[in-house]
Amino acid sequence: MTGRMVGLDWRRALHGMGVWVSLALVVAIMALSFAQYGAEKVLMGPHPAAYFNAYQAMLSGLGASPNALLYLMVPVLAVLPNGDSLAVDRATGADAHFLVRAGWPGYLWGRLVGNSTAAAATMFTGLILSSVLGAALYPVALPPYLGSQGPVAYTHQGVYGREYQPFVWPSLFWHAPVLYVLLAMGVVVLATAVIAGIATLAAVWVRRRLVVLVIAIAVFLAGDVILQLVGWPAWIPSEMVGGYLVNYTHLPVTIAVYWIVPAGALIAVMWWRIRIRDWPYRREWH
Amino acid sequence: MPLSIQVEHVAKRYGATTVLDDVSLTVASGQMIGLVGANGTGKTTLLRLVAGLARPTRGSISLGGQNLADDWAVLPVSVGVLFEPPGLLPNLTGLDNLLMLAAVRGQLKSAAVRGWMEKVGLDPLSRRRVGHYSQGMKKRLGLAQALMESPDVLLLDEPTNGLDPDGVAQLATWLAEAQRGGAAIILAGHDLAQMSRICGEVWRMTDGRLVPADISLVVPGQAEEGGGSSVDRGNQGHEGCVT
Repeated sequence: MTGRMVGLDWRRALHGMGVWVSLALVVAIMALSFAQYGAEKVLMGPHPAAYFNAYQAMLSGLGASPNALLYLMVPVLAVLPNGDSLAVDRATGADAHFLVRAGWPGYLWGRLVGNSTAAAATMFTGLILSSVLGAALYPVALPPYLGSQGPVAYTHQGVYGREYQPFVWPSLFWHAPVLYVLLAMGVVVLATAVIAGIATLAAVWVRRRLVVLVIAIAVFLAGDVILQLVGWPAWIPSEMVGGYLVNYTHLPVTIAVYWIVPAGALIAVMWWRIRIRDWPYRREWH
Repeated sequence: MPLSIQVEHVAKRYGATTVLDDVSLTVASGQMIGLVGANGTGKTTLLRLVAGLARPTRGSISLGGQNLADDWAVLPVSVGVLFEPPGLLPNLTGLDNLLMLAAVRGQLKSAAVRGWMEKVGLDPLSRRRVGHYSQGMKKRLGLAQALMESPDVLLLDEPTNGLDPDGVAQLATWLAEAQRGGAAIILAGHDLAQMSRICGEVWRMTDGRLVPADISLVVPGQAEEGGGSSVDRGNQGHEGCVT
């Protein structure tokens, strides 16, 4: 029944405008990032590291730069496709029709998985389209490898005229750039899925779509605040592609804060809701 | 006659508020009963409990002989519900709303769903979104959602609200059909006269308790108010309603 509900969620997402708006926004944001990247090429002028390529263009848009707009927009892009569907169901009373047909486990797991995957698929599609655009604008080739400087030298050089921290696994970038970019995209897609799941979870308590979005943004930013409080600032998705993460020891903390804790909380709360088979109290019910 | 719905000593509390207090009720297959009561007396809560949408604080509810307190993934019998508001997705068309729900159980084909749209007086080809429907159209669509899969149990909360007299008459006919098909039906509403016309057995909810309603209190002729003779025509088809 869960699988059927997931399929329905996807169908419902495709009926709405949210998927298409989110898709258009992803491509537009990445296009803007590519334009900034190109402008940087002009500003830097002749420079040994000023070899611009499609891979770095993609990485810059994905969050290698701390001010990457895509990163800041992840909660909005995650909720737009269908992240508010549970809130809409509860506000309209449609949840009752689904629950008597699918049961609590089928309905809630279906909504959680359906919303998360719909958001992730939308983001992934947008990023694939963007990568095609990036490949059309910039060379799909890495600069020549200079052994004396090491591969990191090139990846150090800033996207917007300033240096940024070394990439995690820089050698992978040099040996398998496509895989590296795909992994960086994977982090953004995963972040999108988790945030969409958090929006779904929020709808257990709130039924206003805007409040669901605000909660998703708040949870997303709270992750950063927590990391900065413990001295390991790392932005999604910069923990993978650079940003402030300077060595591997921080990676487990980052993964715990961004993925394991939210995902674990999501699963635990949904499981508990299914166990008790009841919504939080609404006065108008009786 | 098998008991489809069995409610035994059920209580429901939300914090310090007692919504239902020691409610017992049985509804057999093919039986239709009515619940009347003022706002806030617990009618909707009782229907939600029977539909498995909430858990009783005390007591037990069984559907088709299976206690809902037991672990269940899907309800043991098929249930159709109508609450207020009817639970429609405003950004979809009426047909898409029905198709989406029908896809959950996968029992009805698209043609049958379109047939139900026509049956309740709505155009299946209309591209109008439900958000732009009138109150009456929403109610009709909500009734189609509840009735279209011929469920074993029908729980309708204020089904006549927003319906015109013809709609009320049609509702009586559809309910009679469902009853003949063996559905156990509970209707909830405010109007004792109307409820007593549609189903012979009527209970009154008062402060979370269930007591038999005194149908003799219905003033002769009151039953025709609003419904008119068309309602009586609707009733002629389901003499089995009176239990």
